[in-house]
Amino acid sequence: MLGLLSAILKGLGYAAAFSAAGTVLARTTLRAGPHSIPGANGLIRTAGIGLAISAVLMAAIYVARLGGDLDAAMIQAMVLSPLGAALGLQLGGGLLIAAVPARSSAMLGAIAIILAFGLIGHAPTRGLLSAATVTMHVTAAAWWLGGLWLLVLADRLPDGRLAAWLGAFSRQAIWLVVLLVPAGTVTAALLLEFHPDLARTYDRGLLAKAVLTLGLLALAAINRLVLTPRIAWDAAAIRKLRWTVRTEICLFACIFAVTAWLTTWQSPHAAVHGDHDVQVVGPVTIVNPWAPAMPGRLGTSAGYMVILNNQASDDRLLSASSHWAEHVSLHVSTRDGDISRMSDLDALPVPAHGQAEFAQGHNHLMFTGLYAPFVVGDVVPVTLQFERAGQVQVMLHVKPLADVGTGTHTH
Amino acid sequence: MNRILTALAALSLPIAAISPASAHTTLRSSSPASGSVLMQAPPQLSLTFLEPARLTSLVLVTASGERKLAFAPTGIALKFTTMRPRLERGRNEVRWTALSQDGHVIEGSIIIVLRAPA
Repeated sequence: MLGLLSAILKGLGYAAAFSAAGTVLARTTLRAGPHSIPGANGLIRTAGIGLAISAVLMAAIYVARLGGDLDAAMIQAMVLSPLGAALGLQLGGGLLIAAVPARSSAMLGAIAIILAFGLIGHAPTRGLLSAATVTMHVTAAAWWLGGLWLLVLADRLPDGRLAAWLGAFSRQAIWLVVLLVPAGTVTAALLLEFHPDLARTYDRGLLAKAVLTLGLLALAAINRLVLTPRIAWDAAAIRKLRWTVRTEICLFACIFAVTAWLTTWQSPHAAVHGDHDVQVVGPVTIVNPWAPAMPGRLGTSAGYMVILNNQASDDRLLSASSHWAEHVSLHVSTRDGDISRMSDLDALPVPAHGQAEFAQGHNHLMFTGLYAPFVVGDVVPVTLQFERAGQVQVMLHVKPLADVGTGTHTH
Repeated sequence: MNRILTALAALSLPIAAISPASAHTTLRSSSPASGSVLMQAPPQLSLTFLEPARLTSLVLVTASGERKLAFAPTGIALKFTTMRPRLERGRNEVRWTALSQDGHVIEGSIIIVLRAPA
């Protein structure tokens, strides 16, 4: 829940930071005076306050997620870390921009806000180069969004004035695209260590950002090449332009959402998890070893898995043992009418290039005299003794009893 | 602008909700190792991370309840140690929470089972 809240706040924080810093940047490069575009100061102030609030809330959420107690370890983690510095820059920058949106010192606030993105996150922690490229990427993207906000506001001006701003914006935007796309590509390449792999969620997230950015570039190209030359004489062009500018802002919102999701839950180097937990590949392969969590203080539990024999000759599982239990035995369940009986199994045969299964309602490992109950999430080490393959170590993952998977019910 | 901000909030909700909370497994090892079954309570317990991190919370969960464990050092380190964790008979879960270098909250737990001497 706190993670979800943190991601939503992060996304809104990105929107506020890019809008606040970007509008100040764009207004400066477009040489728009502090009062030449009505509403710009109000927008900068709102975004600055929004950013300051999000920085304070983010800090509070971090404290809660990190354990909640404001002790020495927490204060060091929150204040003397790059995270603390980044949140401080966002808070200070947001407040400065909100206090003096019309003054040139607002530029200092914008720089502070942008620098925060170069301090913390996946890219900055990789090294100085990726910290530099991500800062350039953020600067260019913020400028672009800020320019779009100015166009939305300039639309309220009397006829003719919008066309002038639009012309200036289009000319400068080319240079920003030249900065944005290579900086983003280099940052992504550094993050993925030049080995993109679309099986990883993180890489798919970056691809989604790239696709959204292509959408932005396409709309920007339509604005510049088709609509801008026509707005002096074509009223339909102005209407279309309004639509494309607002769509671009919506695409920015999508990019912020994807980025917040990526930076909250995903990691560039998370392993690819398959559906099956394949452990130990050698003479035998063990697939999906698991045990059900047992309610209460029952000193017994069961273990299930699929055993594949990779050998050219038959093998037999002779016994099993675990530090967690006094005894582990091989059990077989047999049905006698409506009555299910359990009895010890001397050995479990595994045919050559075939398989044997411990599954619910059939054969299973039986743990007796457990030193501690199996709780969901536990990983229980078990040693299997095969006749030919020898000892094989496996880890049983404890799952809820209801999580049957491929098992069968016995009623 | 309000409409766009509303759209942003609305967009961020479903995307955040569907994502799995993928763990950043950054604990290299612990001593005693997770899953170990001991006859005697260990005099100390240490956690070693794969990359330097800032440990912020260490809580021992047993059948008799939860208890915070003091640890050293505070600040960024690879290895954190808690002296005299006073583990109890049965199942001991040590839940840790830390701030990673890239600003992620990382968390996990290790299980140590204390059994009666045979």
